[in-house]
Amino acid sequence: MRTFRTGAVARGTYLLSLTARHFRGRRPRVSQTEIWLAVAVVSSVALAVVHSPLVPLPGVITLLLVPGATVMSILKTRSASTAARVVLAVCLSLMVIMIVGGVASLLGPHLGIAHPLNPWPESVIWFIIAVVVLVIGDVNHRDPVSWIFEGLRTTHVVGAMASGLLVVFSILGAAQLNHSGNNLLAVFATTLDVVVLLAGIVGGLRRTSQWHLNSLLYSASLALLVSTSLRGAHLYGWDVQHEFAVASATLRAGVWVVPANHDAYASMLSLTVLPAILHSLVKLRLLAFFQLFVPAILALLPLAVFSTVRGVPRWITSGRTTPRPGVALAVVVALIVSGVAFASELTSITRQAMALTMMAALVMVLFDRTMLKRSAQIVIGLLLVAISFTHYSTSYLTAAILFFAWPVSLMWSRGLLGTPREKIDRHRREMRSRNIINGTLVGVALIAAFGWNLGITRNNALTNPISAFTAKGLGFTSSTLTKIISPNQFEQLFVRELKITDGWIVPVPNSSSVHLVAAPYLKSPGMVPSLNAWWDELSYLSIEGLWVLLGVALLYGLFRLGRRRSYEYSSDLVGLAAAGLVLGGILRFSGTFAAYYDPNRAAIVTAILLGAPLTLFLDDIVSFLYEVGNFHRDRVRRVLLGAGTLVVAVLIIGVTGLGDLFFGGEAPGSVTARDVQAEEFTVSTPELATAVWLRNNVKSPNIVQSDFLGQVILLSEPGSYGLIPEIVPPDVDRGAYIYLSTLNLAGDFTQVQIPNGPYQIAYRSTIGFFNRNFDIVYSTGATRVYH
Amino acid sequence: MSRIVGLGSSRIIVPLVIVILVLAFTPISRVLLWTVNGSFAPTPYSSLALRFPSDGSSGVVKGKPVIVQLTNRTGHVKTYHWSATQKGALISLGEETLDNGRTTTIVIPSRGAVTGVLRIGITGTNIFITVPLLKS
Repeated sequence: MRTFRTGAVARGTYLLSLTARHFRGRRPRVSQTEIWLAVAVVSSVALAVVHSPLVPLPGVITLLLVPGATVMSILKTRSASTAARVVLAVCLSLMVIMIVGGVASLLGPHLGIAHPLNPWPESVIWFIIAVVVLVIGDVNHRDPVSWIFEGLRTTHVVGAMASGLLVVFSILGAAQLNHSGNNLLAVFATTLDVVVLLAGIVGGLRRTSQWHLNSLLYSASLALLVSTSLRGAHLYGWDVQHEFAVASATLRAGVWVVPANHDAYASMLSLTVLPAILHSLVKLRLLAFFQLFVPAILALLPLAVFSTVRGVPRWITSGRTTPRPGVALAVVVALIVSGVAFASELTSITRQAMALTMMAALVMVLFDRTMLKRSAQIVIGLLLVAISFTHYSTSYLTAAILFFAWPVSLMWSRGLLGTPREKIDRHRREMRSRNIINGTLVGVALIAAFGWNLGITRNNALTNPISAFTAKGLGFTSSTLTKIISPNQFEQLFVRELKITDGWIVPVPNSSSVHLVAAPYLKSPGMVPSLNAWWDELSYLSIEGLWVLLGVALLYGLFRLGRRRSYEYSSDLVGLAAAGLVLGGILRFSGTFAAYYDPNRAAIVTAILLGAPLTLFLDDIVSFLYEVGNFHRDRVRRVLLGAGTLVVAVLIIGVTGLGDLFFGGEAPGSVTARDVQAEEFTVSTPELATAVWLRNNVKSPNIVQSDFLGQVILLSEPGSYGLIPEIVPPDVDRGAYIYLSTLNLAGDFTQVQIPNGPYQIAYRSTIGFFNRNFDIVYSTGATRVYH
Repeated sequence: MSRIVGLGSSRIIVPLVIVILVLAFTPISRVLLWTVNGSFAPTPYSSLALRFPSDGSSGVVKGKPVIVQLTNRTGHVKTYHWSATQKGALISLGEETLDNGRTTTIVIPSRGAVTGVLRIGITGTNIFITVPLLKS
């Protein structure tokens, strides 16, 4: 009792002294964080009073910056670059939010709080955390907000606001495309993004360039991402529908529990706890979480890589100046922003979007020479833990990369990989003092990945890939592409497959007499279709050329820079780059793994790891072009720099779909409302309503059948029914509920893919078959359910 | 006496612009969306459904009422005219006025119908459902 009272008195005295310290002198000393929190609260209330849709904005920004900034200030670590600090603060904030929510969910029910993720418990928890943040800042004399924003100038804010216009144009373009199908503004916005990025590359080629490339890169990336994520009346894409269902279930439950069915999605705190807390605390709607919040995080990925490659890496002690900003930007645009996965896939795989941003932040910390070695290692350890409950695959992949990179790094640092004998002593001395990756970090990565995914949640993420690997090996000779075949060929294959997989189905009599008629895939005709083949060839060569360039850059680093001049290269870089290239290659060429981990997404991982060597290589080439003295130097330099910029232009024009619109092809949904991709992945309100009706009215053991693409929306509102994603007449069960989407009915287009098989066909919808044999039990005009 | 010039004035102007933009977001966004003919509002729709979906396979005994649900999500109050037909012959018809977001249950008499398929639809649309009528 005495101890308790003494403690209370001590705490009271401390709080009094805290207040006294605040008001010491002529005016109270109010920290930036206190001002920030007060402004956030007041502005949230003001926005709520005027019923603004921006009510969550102040709270979201606060939650995304302050917790991470506090962690950084506690660790006394920060980068010299404001952009890098913001990226790191956001990643650490995500970690803090997920840990807080996870702990609350695990402990809450034992403390009598059945729904700890609901608004009231979360408000209390975060109020306490806010007080703790302020106290820690005061005790440490390091104010979190000042810690990350110190040095920020008004011109930076103005630059960021001006760049924000790119995002505004993209949002308006998506709204126009959604509402009227007119793609004029969407195409303009995308073209503007491309032009601005290319202008940034050219404008930043001089080392003294004053362009605000950070704001420009972030805004252009975000603009490209929201032009995809905001398409349709619901979420755009495949995985994101299932993610929405998982988040929605957690929100309803008000608590996260380890899933009993070992579902990998429901095991991730990024899809459960994070959206639930943001909804409870700052009223961020679930749809806004997936459509806006995640793209805002993902747009930090190129910024993190840019921060990594723009500075002189940590290990270089002499002989190198900061790379040209334009070269660094060109590398980021070519490798990351022009990646197929970044532009069109990751917005619909949000768990991976967040995890890859964390991975990019991890590499950024690893290479940042302005952060001390020990602090950097701690931050990397924290990010490894955060990645483990953000995305299972990225967690395993990061652990594998470090596990592979560490021995390579060790061999390099000991001079075993080709260092001349006479230089080996100096080489070893220099390497030992500068490497970051060590056994402890590898251990943390492995324990975090396997501990969370196999130990704590026991999720099933590895089950299928391991079974496939055991059965087929790496499958380097097998194709990873889905083959499009004719309906005749399909029917023959299908009959064989049907007997094996769906023997229990009771078909409608004479259903096998219905023959399928091929339907064309919808494509943009293009303005210059005659050049389509030429454009495809150029795009292909540019993408493949980029991979060759990555390999050449690594070899240049190893043999030109690192072997003889160890002060210009590092063992960490060697290990990570080699790991990135090997793992990227395996995931790209293995038919087995490609089925579970898209090679395009693996390419982003490789790009994050190899961005620095490529920048060093290209910067040396550009420097050579500027310094070389010969008669034709200006002309040669212009031609080569122009060619380099042209390659980047080809890559980004291709990935944004502008190339498809101009030369003909399947343009992405961000720039068209008509092509097959837009039709496949945009969801209309009637489709969502039908999915909700099926969830509410069709219960187990009934089954629902839809075509391959129709299932997209059903994943978002899953019911207790069984789902079969195909409606080829002989495989339609007499007792099933059959969902026909807008594309099936109005588009007269149905798609089928053999389960786990590489065959896919598109055929004209067999509506007559359903009309003859089933009754319509639900209809919106645009969609139907037969039974 | 110190004056607010240069950097100092921009320190005030920038937050002021941000505050104005944030507080005036709703009218500004409305004007912008109207200008480009864009919208993120849900697509309006109406729906018709069997109250008991299993009636689609098990059927309804002729003479017994068919129960359906009509939903209005058009964004405004709407009057619906529905009709029940069998091979083009009118069996029953009626009218319902619904507020936006509301669902109502309609009991459709099937007196006068014969064994076969009864088609219930909303007049002037392609929204319809079908239900098999069985012998009593």
